[in-house]
Amino acid sequence: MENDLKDVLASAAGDGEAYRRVVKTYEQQIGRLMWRFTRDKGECETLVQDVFVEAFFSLKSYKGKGPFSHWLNKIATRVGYRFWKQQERARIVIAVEDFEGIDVGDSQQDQIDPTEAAAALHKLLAKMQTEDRLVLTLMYFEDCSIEEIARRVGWTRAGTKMRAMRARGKLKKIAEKEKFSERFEWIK
Amino acid sequence: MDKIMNIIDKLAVKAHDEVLPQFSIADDVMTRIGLMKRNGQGLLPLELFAGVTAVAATIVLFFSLQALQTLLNPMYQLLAPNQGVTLW
Repeated sequence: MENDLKDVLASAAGDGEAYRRVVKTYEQQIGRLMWRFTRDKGECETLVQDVFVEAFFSLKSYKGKGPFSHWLNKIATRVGYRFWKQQERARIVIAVEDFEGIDVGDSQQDQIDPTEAAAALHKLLAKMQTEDRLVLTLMYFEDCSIEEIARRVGWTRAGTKMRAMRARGKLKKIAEKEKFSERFEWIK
Repeated sequence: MDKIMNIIDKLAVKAHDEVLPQFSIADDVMTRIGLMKRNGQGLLPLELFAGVTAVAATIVLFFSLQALQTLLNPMYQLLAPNQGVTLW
């Protein structure tokens, strides 16, 4: 932890090797987070790079008050949000039929593969408006509390709580429309 | 909690066990940073140009607003009506 801070400070002073060490320390953590924004390995890798490039040029704004990983997560969330917004502008939406492609493993009626579960949830959330999708993604995949989401996104606590509540309502409607419960009703 | 949200919550719990791909991007990041640093050096003249343009635009706007006020001021019309009009 202390070494991390030393490396971060050295990076801010322009030490490239120190920043390489910082990247190596946090690349899996950021990779995991960015995987929630896209499930395409290539796109995800680019997003992880974007996070570290953006972080490097913002290092001077890191005051060292909180853990570096929190500061990095905030940048990563912003990069992911921007990525979704770009997709939204380009009108990239997943077709309803794509749920058919999810292998729910009919031989094991009470089991679903974690990857398939994540893919199904990702596809369902992809049908939501970007802000709602962001709140629920952080909630479901990252286990973030309302406070943590508010801190990462820069919204108020009350606003985030309200959005999360409404987003869950909208998610329910979308899931009903997609006949989600029929497809996954065997989950116990 | 109703059935459909229960399913979604369970899927979310299950999704935590997903095996995620591994990333090794340190070299690419350092290459990109190096490239951006180099390209960034060429940005200064552009910023300078933008600054000069902004100053010039402000000056033009300042005089334009004054001229516009003169044109629209009814008092000006009262004291010096139709100054520029040649009748014959």
